[in-house]
Amino acid sequence: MTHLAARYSVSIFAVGLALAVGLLFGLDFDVRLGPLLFICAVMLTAWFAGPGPGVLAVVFSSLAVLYFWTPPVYSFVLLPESIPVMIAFVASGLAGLALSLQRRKRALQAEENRTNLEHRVAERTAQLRVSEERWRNLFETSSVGIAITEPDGRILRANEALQTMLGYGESDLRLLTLTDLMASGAGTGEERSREGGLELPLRRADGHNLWVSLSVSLIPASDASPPLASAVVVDISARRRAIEDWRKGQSEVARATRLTTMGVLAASIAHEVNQPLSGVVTNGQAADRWLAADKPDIQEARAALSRIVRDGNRAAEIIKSIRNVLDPVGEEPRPLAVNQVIERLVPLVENELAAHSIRLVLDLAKGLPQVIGDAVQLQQVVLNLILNAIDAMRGTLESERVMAVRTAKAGGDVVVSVEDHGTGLPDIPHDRLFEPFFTTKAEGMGVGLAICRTVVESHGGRLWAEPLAPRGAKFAFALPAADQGGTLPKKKEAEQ
Amino acid sequence: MTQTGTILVVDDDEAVREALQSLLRSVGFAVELYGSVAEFMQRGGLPETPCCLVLDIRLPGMSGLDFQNELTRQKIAPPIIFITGHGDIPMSVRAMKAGAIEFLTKPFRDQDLLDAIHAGLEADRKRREESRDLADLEGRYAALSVREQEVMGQVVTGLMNKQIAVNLGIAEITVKVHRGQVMRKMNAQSVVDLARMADRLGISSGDPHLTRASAR
Repeated sequence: MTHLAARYSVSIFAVGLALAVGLLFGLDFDVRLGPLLFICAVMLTAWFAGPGPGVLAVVFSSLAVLYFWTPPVYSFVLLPESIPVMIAFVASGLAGLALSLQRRKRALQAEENRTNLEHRVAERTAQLRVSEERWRNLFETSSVGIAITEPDGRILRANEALQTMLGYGESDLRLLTLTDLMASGAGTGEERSREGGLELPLRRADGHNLWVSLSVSLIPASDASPPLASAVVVDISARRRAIEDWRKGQSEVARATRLTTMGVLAASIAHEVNQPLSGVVTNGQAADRWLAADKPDIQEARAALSRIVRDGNRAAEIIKSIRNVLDPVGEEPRPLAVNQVIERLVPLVENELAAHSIRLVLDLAKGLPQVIGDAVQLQQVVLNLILNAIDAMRGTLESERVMAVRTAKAGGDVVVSVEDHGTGLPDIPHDRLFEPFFTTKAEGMGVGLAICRTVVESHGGRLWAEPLAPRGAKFAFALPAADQGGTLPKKKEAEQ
Repeated sequence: MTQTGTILVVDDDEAVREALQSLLRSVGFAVELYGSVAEFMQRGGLPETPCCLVLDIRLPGMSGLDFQNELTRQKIAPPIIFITGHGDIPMSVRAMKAGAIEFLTKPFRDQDLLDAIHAGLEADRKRREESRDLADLEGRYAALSVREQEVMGQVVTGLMNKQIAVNLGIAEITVKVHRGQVMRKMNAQSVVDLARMADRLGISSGDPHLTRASAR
């Protein structure tokens, strides 16, 4: 209310001031000039106090002009000859008022716009600050390392996690590029891309290597900022260590298994070689006795000697074939006749088969294509399957202990299968049989079949199991024929 | 030097068989070779002359040890010498407990084998002699009349003629006559000698005749 009163006071004050100025400076008689003051007063009032006081100012001004400047002076009497002047004055006043009001309205509008704008800017700024803070917190407290870099890899910002990871302060990092950080070992092919990034070693400030997963994404240039890149660095050393431990463990287990297998074979081999050796010794003793007799029997002695030669050769032959089978000096993958691989293996298991009274049926298909692979490794696989089959038939009636080893061609594959009449397969998905450390044997480690599968798969083949009716099991593996794009086993996997 | 005795060799390895044949023939033994227990079985029993079995432990089909058990079960007990490529201690203990003469690991010293064979043949000879004696004795015992067998059973327990007469319900003089017949038919030099024979025949003091007599 006071506000309204103040505004109307402005009207009175302005008109009063104009009147005072007019009267003080004797402008009252200069009809032409005096009313101008009132126009000014009207305009000022309208400007400062708005339309209502403006109109009031026009009224007051008209009255003042009517009183002081329109003859008869000092009276409100309006003579007819003064009407045009009065009309002109009121019109001018109203025009001035309108003009002033219009300007004022515009000014007020502008003022309001500016205020709105300022308000909005302030609001937006506050929002930005919150957002900025949020991102900064994310950046600073993230447990993964984050760096903002220039497109060429020069580091602009690096968060706390990255600094801790690499052992550098942010100021040190700002002098480096991502490439500088990559360890010298990187680029040797050991790193590999996984979904979501590259795995490679970074060099820490203390010179040690740290395995990380690095993913870089480009931030396109905007009006205010040149193009940048953000690099997210995750420490994967623990995971890698675990994988490496597992791998090492696996290869150690594989070695242990191979040694166990070798142990089983050693008895066979010893027996196999010992037979002809014992023949040699006994024949030698016999020859000696034939010759030492009162009437030396040259004929018999010579027969014994020729048997010595024969048995000696046989022993040598066995040793040679064992070397062919077990030569640990890794053979390069080469085209192989699967049947030959199996035939060479048979003498080694014959003793073990005999010890368990198992009859072996060899059903090797003729005219098989060759496969490409490592004979020693494939023999290990077949050997393992045969030893498993022997184990499976421990509880079988002796008359039914028959094992069949077959080869066949199936499409572009060569299939080798080992069938037994043993206890059959446990009632689980057959794939589980090939998982590491799955075993049905009391003394088994459960790695034999897992290793077999690894070997077969490294040859580009597959290994599977199926039950046989009425009892027993069949383990078979298929290898691609050499002319069907059989693959060379990868050396690294082959070593496992 | 020809030795009496047949050596039966059962080994699945031909080289070993042939070598053994030569060695054993060189010292004058008759040798028969078999590749498996089944092959040996076709022979149908043991030879009449003293013999000795040289058995490989590991054989196709029935193993040497199982064969030994089988022979023991059938109460055919020829001396057995085991030869094996890789004998372990439990195996040899089992073989020796079951009555094997020797357990040799290939390759063996010829003298060890020959010594074992000699021991085996000697044992077989003794066994055959004993069984021949026993058969003879059994024949003589079988030639006694029922009454004479009864009297013999009482005599060997050390009873006096009078007691025997009471036990059997016959006259003492009759006992005396039967007793003389028994001593003559059994070719016994003394009562002690007769008692030994009774012992070998398995006529003990727990003789049913005596039990029956005392019950009366």
